[in-house]
Amino acid sequence: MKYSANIYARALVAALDDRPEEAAKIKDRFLAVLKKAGDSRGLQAIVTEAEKLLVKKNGGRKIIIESPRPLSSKNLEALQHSFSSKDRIETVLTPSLVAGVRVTIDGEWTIDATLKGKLQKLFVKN
Amino acid sequence: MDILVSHMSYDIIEKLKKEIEGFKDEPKLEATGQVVEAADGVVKISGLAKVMSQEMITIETDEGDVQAVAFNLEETMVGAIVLGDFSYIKTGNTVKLTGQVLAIPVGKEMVGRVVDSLGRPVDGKGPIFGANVKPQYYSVEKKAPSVLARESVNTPLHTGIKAIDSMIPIGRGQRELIIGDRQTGKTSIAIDAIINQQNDTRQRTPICIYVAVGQKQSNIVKVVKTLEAAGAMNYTVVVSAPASSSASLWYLAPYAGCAIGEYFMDQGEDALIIYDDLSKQATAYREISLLLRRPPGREAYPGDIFYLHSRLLERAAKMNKEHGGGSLTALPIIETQLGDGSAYIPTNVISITDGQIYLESDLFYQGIRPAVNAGLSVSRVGSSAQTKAIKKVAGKLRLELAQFRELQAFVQFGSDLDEATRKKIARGQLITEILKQSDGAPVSFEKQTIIFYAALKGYLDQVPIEKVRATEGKLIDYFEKLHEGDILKPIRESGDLAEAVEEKLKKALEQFLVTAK
Repeated sequence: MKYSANIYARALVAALDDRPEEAAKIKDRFLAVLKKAGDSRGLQAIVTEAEKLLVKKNGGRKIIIESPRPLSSKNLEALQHSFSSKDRIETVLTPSLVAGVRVTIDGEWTIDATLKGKLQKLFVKN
Repeated sequence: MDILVSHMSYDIIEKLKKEIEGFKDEPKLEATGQVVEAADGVVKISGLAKVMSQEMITIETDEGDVQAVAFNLEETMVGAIVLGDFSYIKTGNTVKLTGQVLAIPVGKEMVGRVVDSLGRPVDGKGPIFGANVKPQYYSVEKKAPSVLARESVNTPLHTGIKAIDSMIPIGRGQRELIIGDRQTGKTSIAIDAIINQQNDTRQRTPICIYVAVGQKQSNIVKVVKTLEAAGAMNYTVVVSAPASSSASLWYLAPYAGCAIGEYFMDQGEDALIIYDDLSKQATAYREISLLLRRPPGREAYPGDIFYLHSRLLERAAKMNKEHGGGSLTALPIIETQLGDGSAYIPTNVISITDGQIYLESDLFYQGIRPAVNAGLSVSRVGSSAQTKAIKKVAGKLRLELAQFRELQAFVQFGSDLDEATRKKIARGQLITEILKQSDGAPVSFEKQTIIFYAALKGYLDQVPIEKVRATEGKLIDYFEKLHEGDILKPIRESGDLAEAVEEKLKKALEQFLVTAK
């Protein structure tokens, strides 16, 4: 890519900040810029970065909750109460976790309460 | 039999049950990251907020965990070099910190073994450390000993090679570079130096570490077999990073070998480490740096290429008594291209080391082997690390050779020269012949004393040049059989040529010349 995903994301967020009323036009122009630079394939990574920046700008965090099966509404509500209203929560299904949940915060911190994690630690220990 | 098997299964199940019941794991907040880019043995990771430079990290892949080392700590990314199989790594893989900088297990159990750059055995002889042994871990990157912890180099390290021990003496704790083109005998000198350590009974035998960087596996096997046949593997560790391994392992191998050497030095022992060769390590470091997008400098090497070698070689030292009195002697090898010793990497390493042994292809093809250019070779430690016996007899060797080189152009005019010049030329030719030595046949220092004494005191002046090597062989044989107790042993034990022994030596040489006729 001509520029890193982070740089593209920062430019997009800054443009949206300057003219929030032209959000749709900015989006179209941004896609055109990406196409011209030949960096359209990095769009997913740029969107992820932009999301992170926007959430951080609003004083929140990006929370990803992974579980092997869809969480019940009761469990999901309990988890959501652990975080602030400014946090952006996303749930992901990862069957390989076997049981439990894994929570990732801002892509940098993880709490692993899954059976897969416990089994890995058990076998490493032995 | 069925009862026995079911009894064993029951025991195993009970054991596992106890382990699982006793297992306690509280979920805690861990710093993690995600692989964003993976190519050519290098990965880019987002996250890992608290990663340290050179920290070991674990990449969780579908085929199991792969180890890597955090190398580049950038603003939003971490660049890491992969130590395992990077074909398993995919983008999106989770990365976890281990909290430890790169370290390898070290211990006396490593002696006689062949290990890789991470200290894992590769010789098929099973684990190095027993189940009940907890090995020490030494950091691969470590600060060199301070000035105050060191003392001057004052103990000789005999290589068993006449040209080196007489004119370019090496001491324990010194760094002496072996430099030359391909196929000039650099590795042979290093291997002979290792083999000769068992012949030097006056000093404690140093633990030898041979680091093979980027060599063919067949060459490494050959070296190990040569050392085994000579009985040298009893005190040698081989660190192998063959040509088929990744650039990361080539880069780490010399540091891993140095960590092993430092372990023995810290125990108060002497160690000898050979880096064969550092040119390949520089190439690997260049490859890693370019993949990590570090700015290239001269010849595309990164800006800290000097530091790569200087921090490695500074760890070789002679420690003072307060710090154990051990030593680590380094013999780095550098390969030049077309004899160009003024290229970038060779000049860097020459400026770091305490001298160099220059090998030339021209001398090699003329039959002068080892192909040491005595004029360009130097040992900055010099005679302070030379055995008294050799110093006494070989003191004028360098001067005589230098004078011979000056007069060599006149050799073709043999009949038109005065007597003194003809004598100097003859003496120079004799010395050149004496300094030739076969591969894999190191000569102990007491025998070298005899040979140099005979050559420089004129005892061999009447021997035709083409018969000098054979006569030398007969001379050593004669002394081994008839004068082991009264001449060789006193020199070997005292390290000096006492007057009484010298008198016996003169008589023995005269007797030899009579019998040799």
